[in-house]
Amino acid sequence: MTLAILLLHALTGMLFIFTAGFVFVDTLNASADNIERIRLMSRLVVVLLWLTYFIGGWWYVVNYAPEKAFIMKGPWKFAHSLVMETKEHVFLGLLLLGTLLPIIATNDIHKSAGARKLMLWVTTLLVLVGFGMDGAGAIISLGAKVALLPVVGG
Amino acid sequence: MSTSTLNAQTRGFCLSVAITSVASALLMVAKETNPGLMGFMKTITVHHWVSHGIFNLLLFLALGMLLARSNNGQGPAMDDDQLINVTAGGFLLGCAIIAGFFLIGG
Repeated sequence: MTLAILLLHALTGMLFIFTAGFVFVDTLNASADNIERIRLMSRLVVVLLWLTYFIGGWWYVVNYAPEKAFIMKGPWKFAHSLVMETKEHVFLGLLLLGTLLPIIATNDIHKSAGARKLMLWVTTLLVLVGFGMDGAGAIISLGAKVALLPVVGG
Repeated sequence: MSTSTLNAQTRGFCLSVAITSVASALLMVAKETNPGLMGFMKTITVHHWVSHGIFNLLLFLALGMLLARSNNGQGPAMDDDQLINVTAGGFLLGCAIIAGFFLIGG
């Protein structure tokens, strides 16, 4: 069950990245025809991002301690001391950055070059840092895995 | 004189993200280097990270609403490019402080 929660965290995270990418592309082609879709998808980005936060946060607070202990005894200590510590704190900022999207979308994106540029910058940062979060999650999982592997020939 | 085409809420909350991102990174440094602060943050909720998240959210909302009402309700007097630079710069500076701290200290 706890591993399923962790997979759900990764799934909603990937869907958030995909949706932010969708908003980026739609903003490149912003017009009166797709402005409402941009607004709707911006709200979906926030829902997925906060879901990712609550699911991952619950797992982190309730279930991560034993995994952390294994990682810190293994050869990839940096998987916690650098990667997880950075991930958990950068995520807090990412959450607020993503929350900006529906607020930016209240502007007339198709008429304001400034609003379009801001939307493109924010969605770009969300996608790039989101991929970074995803990679960090993979490193943390590998940190636990290498800690649990038997020492071959040792 | 501001030449922004963005509404007051957008300008207020963008600036709030920039300030909150840096403040969050500085709070992280403070709690990681000050056991008293870390202990306090652990006692007010179930986990210091939860307390940190609540602090960020409250600061973001309070600053965003205040800044959106500043300048006679027009929001911060910045043009669009300045606002984009400050928003992206503040967020990235916060990320750099966090990663740099754990890279050096970890």
